[in-house]
Amino acid sequence: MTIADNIHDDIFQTHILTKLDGQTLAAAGCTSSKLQSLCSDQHLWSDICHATWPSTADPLLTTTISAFSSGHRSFFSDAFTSPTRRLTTTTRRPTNEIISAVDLRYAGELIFSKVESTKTVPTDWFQTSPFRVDLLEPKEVVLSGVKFSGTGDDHVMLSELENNMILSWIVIDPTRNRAVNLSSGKPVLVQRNWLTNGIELTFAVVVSVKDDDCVTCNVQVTCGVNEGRGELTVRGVSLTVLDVYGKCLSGKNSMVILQGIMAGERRRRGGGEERERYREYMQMRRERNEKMERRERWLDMACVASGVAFFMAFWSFVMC
Amino acid sequence: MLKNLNSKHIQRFSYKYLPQFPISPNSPKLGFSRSQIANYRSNFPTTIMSSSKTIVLRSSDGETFEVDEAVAVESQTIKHMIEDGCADTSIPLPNVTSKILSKVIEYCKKHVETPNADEKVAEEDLKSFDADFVKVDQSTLFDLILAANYLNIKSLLDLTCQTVADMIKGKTPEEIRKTFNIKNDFTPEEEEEVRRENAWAFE
Repeated sequence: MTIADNIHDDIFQTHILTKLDGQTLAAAGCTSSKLQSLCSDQHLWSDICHATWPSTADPLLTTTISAFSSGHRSFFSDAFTSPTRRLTTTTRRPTNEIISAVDLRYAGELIFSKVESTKTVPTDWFQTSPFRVDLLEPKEVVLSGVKFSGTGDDHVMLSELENNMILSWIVIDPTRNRAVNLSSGKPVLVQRNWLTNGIELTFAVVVSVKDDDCVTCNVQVTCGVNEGRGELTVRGVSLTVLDVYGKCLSGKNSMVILQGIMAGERRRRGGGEERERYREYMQMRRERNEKMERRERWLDMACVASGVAFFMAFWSFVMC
Repeated sequence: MLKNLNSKHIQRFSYKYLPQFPISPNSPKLGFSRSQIANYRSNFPTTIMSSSKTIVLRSSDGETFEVDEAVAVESQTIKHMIEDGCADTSIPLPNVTSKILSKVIEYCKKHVETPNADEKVAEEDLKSFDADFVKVDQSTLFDLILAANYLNIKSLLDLTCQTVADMIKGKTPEEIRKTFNIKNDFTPEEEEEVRRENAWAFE
């Protein structure tokens, strides 16, 4: 006698399947056709999505996600996995809008959640200006409810932030019904910006394009600590796409990258590789920038030398 | 003889047989009238060494089990039957065998005896009882789920379903099939498509 025969379908669905997480539910759906139909129930998957990413409970998103090929199930499989590491860019028709669903957690507690719609209509202005999505207004500050004891050891606070902060930034294309999670989960870099007295956390995924070129989808979270109460505040959350030199890509190129990532394959979300890849990317960036600087220095010296030579020639011509 | 009883005796008398009554220095020194005591007793019928009612449950194979009412009303189904007045002789449970019914009664007894998670020790003890309770073979576990659903015992249903959920967690489809003896009724093409769609979950 099997489990599916013994226990009634409704008990199985309402009491057992509701206690499973997304991965287990997907695996259980692969066992037999009866379980597949039981595990495809949209309510199960929408509950799992809302629990994993509370921003997806926004009414704007529930209708968008329901339009996906298998509704919340395909959305979960798109957003739960990591984007591909190698991008094959092919020309695609540009999309008019992308929706970002962002959730920021500290030690399991949700401290920031927002859904933002960005118009990406391919006008001249959009295609040539640098691409950037900002979730907070310039002076807007969000209180997190996380307290840090005193301002004693900066190093300790930074390492606590590095270990406990988890961000998910899901970009959704409503016209093609695909989504991708562009965040690395845990931060790849946490550093203090002494100019603005803020703490910058970088959540980035590095994607290789062509042979030795790579870009990074850079999610930057800027935090501060309230002087009086020692409470952590969130001052800025933004997404940009940077090339190998660290420059912001234009709207047109960024959309090509984002759409390519969304249509690409997915990998299983592994642990810790993102930090390594980001370190390699920063190393590559430094080397390329140094090479460029050297080249420019040579060019400068060549210009100065030719200028001096021309001047000497002219002077000697005038003197003689 | 009554004249020899002073107020001190009467106070001690009332304290012994009406344990819930607070004795304070300001309470009336003389005893209580019969009507007062009768009134008091009718409001608290079970505090004075009264025998609690027992319910007889009859399993599907004819075996009878006598349980305290407090234990029986852990099941919402039985509770409603008692309230509706169907519990005069015995309550028939045609969907539950004697083996399963005895286990369910054991569970309910333990949960009624233990005070409601007041102390840490009692809570730990209950948790280890629950953990041992579900260490049974699969068919018994499924029968317990069906019985808990029929008898509407929420905590038992949650416990048994969580056990089954834990048995499924973290396994690949082959392992799930093996554990629960599920027949793979996909065609090779269907299987290929399903695996491709869900490979992210287990590969």
